[in-house]
This record gives sequence, C-alpha cells and structure tokens, in this order.
Amino acid sequence: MKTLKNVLVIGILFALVILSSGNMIVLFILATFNVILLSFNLLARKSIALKPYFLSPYNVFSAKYSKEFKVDIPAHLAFDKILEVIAESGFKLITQDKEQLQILAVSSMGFKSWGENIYFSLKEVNGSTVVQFNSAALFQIYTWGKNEDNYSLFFKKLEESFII
Amino acid sequence: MPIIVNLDVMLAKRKMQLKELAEQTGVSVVNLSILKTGKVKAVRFSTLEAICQVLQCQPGDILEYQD
Repeated sequence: MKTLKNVLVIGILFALVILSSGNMIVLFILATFNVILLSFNLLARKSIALKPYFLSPYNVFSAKYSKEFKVDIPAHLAFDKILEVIAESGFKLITQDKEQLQILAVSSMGFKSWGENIYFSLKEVNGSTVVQFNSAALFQIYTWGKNEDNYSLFFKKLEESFII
Repeated sequence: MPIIVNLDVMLAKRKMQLKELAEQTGVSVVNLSILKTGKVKAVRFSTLEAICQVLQCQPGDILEYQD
C-alpha cells in the first residue's frame, strides 16, 4: 500500500514534469513550489506543534515510519532513559515536554536524506511505558530505509542501555 | 524475578541520596533508579565495584537471591 502510494506520487510528479517540458513557466512554478515547501519544512521541523503536519497521511512529500514498543519501567524513568539514549544514538534533541511525555529529536542530513524528524510519545500503562516511535522524512517520498534504520539504531541503543 | 536489589536499603543505611551516589559513582540517576527497581538486564562488574566502593559494602549487600 505504502509502495503503491510512493509509485503514484512519483508518477504524478513525473507526469507533471513531462507535461510541462518546454513550458518554462510550469517548470518554474514546480521548482518554486519545491523550494518553498523544503524551506517551510526546514523551518517547521523544530516545532513539536507541527508533528501532525509531518505525520499526516496526506503529507505525501514526507515518508513516515511508525513503531510502538513497551519498556518495563514507569514513564518518568522511560522519559529520562530515552533522552539518554537519543544522545548516544547520534540524534539531536530538539525539544522535550515531560508533562505531555513528548520528545522531538532530529537525525543528521546525509547523502540518503535531508534528515528525519523523530518523535517519541510515551504513555504509562500498568507501571510499564508504551512508546510510540515516529520517524518522518523532512522532504522526500522515499528514504532508502533511513526511517527504519533510525528505529533499529535507537532500539539497539535502548536495549544496550539496560546493561548498566 | 528471584534476584532482589537492596540498593534503597543500603542507601537508607548510609543516609545517602540516589543523586549523591550517582555523582560519586559516575552512573546516571536514571540508571541507578532502574537498577533500584530491578528492571535492568545486567550489571557490569565495574558498576558494582563503583557502588560497593562508595557505599562501603559487599555485592551481596546489594543483590540478594530469594527462592
């Protein structure tokens, strides 16, 4: 389903470029739209309030990955633990809200991507904590597995951190 | 789990706060808190050594096996 969506978006963009070939005005509008959207995303990425924008299924320019896992410690401890692990994973902590149990970190820019926004939402359930991990690309419809790599790296570091 | 962590008992005996122990051992407060609740996967000998050194106790004073 996800692949089908990616293929559709790529197809639409490709068709737009083909249809506009030779038409400099349409090409200019497309290029301007991309630059504006990328700039907006770069500015918006540091605000946790814009999490719904990046994670929305209608935001087709941002590839997303979501995973839920449980840690067997209370939420306040899990929150501090995640902050520790973020630093060890090489992600950059942007903002945190201990009352709402929300964390926003970003991964660095590389040749595969413009960087991803990584959101953590915690919820305490019967003394354990359910963590919702979301990784959303800044401005690309396919991340070459970078979103999944972010999760794998984070989870590996989290597991290791329980050996003190 | 049959392994019981008596870190809070030892801290009370030594009249020491967890934060103080964290500062003296170099182990973070969050890790010591998790250790106290017995939710860690494993404890390194170096961590155990640091805790025993600061609390002036034996590993058996911190870890106990209960059937």
